[in-house]
Amino acid sequence: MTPTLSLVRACAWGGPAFLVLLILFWGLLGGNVPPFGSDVPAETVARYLTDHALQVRVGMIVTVAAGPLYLVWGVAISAVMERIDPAEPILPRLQVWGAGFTTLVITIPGCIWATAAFRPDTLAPETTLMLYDLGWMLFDVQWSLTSLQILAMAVCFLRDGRPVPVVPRWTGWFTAWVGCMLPILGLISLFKSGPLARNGLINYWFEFPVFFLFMLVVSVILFRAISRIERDG
Amino acid sequence: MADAAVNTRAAGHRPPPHAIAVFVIMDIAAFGMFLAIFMVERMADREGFALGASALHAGLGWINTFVLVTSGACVAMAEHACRSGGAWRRWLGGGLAVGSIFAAIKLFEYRERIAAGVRADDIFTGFYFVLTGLHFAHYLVGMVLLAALLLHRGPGGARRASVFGAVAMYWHMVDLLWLLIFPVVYLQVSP
Repeated sequence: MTPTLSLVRACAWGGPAFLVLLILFWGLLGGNVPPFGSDVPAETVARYLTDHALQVRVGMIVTVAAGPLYLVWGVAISAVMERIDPAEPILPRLQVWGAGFTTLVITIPGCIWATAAFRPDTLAPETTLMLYDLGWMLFDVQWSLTSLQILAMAVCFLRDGRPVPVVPRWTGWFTAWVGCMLPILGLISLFKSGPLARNGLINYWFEFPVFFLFMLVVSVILFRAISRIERDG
Repeated sequence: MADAAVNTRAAGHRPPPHAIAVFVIMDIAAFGMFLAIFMVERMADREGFALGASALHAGLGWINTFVLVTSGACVAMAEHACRSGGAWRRWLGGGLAVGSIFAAIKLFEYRERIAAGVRADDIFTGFYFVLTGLHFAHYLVGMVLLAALLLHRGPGGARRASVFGAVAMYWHMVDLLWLLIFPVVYLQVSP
């Protein structure tokens, strides 16, 4: 095993670690399973944040701290992408920039939700609700930063001309599909209730599991691709 | 992979489907789920949904159905001609020309809907724009892919046949999605 790839493998663990921390601290501790709908009165949201202020703040502190693990994971993906086509300089860079910006889509809303839970007892409920809304807008409406990352990796996986590609073709098309599903998240800014609202069937119960599945699938094929590159050079 | 596809074809077998089938199946499944959610929401407000649907031009929808199916048939003929060395560009150009009518009708329809006023709390109208808008985005990507195929001057052979198969499958998916959306959204019977 070459020392370089053992570092790539270590970085690849950033993805699964990020996913576990996100579900535990942003999701469960942060009170986002599911979030409050956009039609919920300001008083309800403010009361929840007042009653669970410490819990939500701790959840968000760890969420923000875990955010860079997504970039670490993205760097490992780009390292594999560079091995798939060493002559192609653009796609690994787009992928890693997309992963880096997606990290900010985690950390900045995390800070805003921590602010919402900072002193909700002394703020007007509408002000707290605005912070809660702002966090969700930054979290969902910035889908294009993540789609950039996902589509760059999909194109790279699909351009692999080997008889047996490093990343299976179905994975390339699956990631392309995920990249094309994320734009629907932008619609949370148009709907306050129904399936396209931030807590709705499509924009929460479909989009988030799809994204989690994407991270799992890409993590598994990433470890396999690293093993194959180590074996075949 | 492309060579293998052509070889099996020459031996009298059907070529294995292009891996884009994964994308196509997942996309159809996602639309199927969105339409199922539409039907569930409709149960809560049958009158509102029927009223919304009655404001749509079902006639234009029928024309667009005919347009897409004809375009799909042209592309299927083009793909066949490409594999058998026929005049595939003529069929593909025809498929693109017929397909472009869909955009003209859809944009007319959107303009009319927006002129009629969109209420933010009208869930049917929201669904209408989201479902047909997502489909329209798929359609635009398909038109660009078809045009790229038509304009591409590089070497033909197995590689082109493989790409042709993938683009044609995508275009047929655009057809199929419309065939699912049109009856569910446009052709509702009042309760």
